[in-house]
Amino acid sequence: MHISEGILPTTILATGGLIALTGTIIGLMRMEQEQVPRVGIMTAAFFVASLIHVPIGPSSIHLVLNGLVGILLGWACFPAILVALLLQALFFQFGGISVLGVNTVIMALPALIFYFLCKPLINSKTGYLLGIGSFISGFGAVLGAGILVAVCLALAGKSFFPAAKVILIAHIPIMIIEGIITLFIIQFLRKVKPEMINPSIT
Amino acid sequence: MYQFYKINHLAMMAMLAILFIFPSLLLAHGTQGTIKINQGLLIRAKYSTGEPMAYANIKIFHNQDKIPFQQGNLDKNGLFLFHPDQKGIWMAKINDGMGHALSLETKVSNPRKLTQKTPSQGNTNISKIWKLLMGISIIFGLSGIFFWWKGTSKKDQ
Repeated sequence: MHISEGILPTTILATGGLIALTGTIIGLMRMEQEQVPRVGIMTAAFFVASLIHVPIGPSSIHLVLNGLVGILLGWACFPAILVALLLQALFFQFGGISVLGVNTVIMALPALIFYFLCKPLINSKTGYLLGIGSFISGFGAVLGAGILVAVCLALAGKSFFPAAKVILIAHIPIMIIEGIITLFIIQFLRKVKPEMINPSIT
Repeated sequence: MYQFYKINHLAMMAMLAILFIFPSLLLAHGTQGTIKINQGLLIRAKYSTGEPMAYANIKIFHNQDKIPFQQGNLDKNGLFLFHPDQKGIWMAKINDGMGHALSLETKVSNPRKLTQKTPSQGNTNISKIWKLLMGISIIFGLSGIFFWWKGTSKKDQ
């Protein structure tokens, strides 16, 4: 789901960088001292999760967890994802430095949007509504990231629909898996640490 | 403060659980490749999962030429062979159309012989697990610094 170096034109890279910077500043400004450890933990989880490959059929897919990061961190998902992607680019040549802003937006923006869309469900005290909200957030964040990748590739000159089709079809299993994982983690947190579900960094 | 230690503990347990469930699956999904002499220049491109970049588009450029010397697709195994016709820097740009790209280059001093050693994109010898631990350490380090900074700015207020 990352875009590599050398694919996108400078205008898209600059726009992505600007949006990522804005999101990161908002995230950092809204972050209280008490929330910093949580952001650190989620950054580490995101950094690790993208490197875990699950073999499915002849290929393999990796977890993204951006939906979960969005639910637990709100706006702080921007700085968290930015740092994790920077380290992935430096250590694993995953994405790249010049494309870091665009990749941050691709991962963080859908996570934030789906968090806000599902917030009434996630804040609900009813278990199944919370479950539906977390599944949609997990599923939708990956779906949104796939669409954004296709949009970026389309802006870079590729035709949108073939690229979007290939990317989205390839990520259908991970969307479902992400939805289920997000659902289980949020349901678990609801039982053991319900205050974690309301990030209050929103 | 105790509450945060508990949160940390919980999240760390979850993360470690993921690591233990998938111990052998800690692989990046970047791209990597090599150029070797083999009756010409043989390009091998793969994702860092080890899967070949099968059928990815490839363009070969000589020095700063804008028109590619050759273009086409890698084979099923992520291989591509071509014969440079002059000395200079030869660059291969590989793109799978799904956001993964790779750029490799090598210097050719005598295209007829192609006997010189060609550099390939090097990977550091640090294992993935070590890189992973380094990454996590940096994240916690940064969090600690930010936590301290937020604390001091709170005190100042």
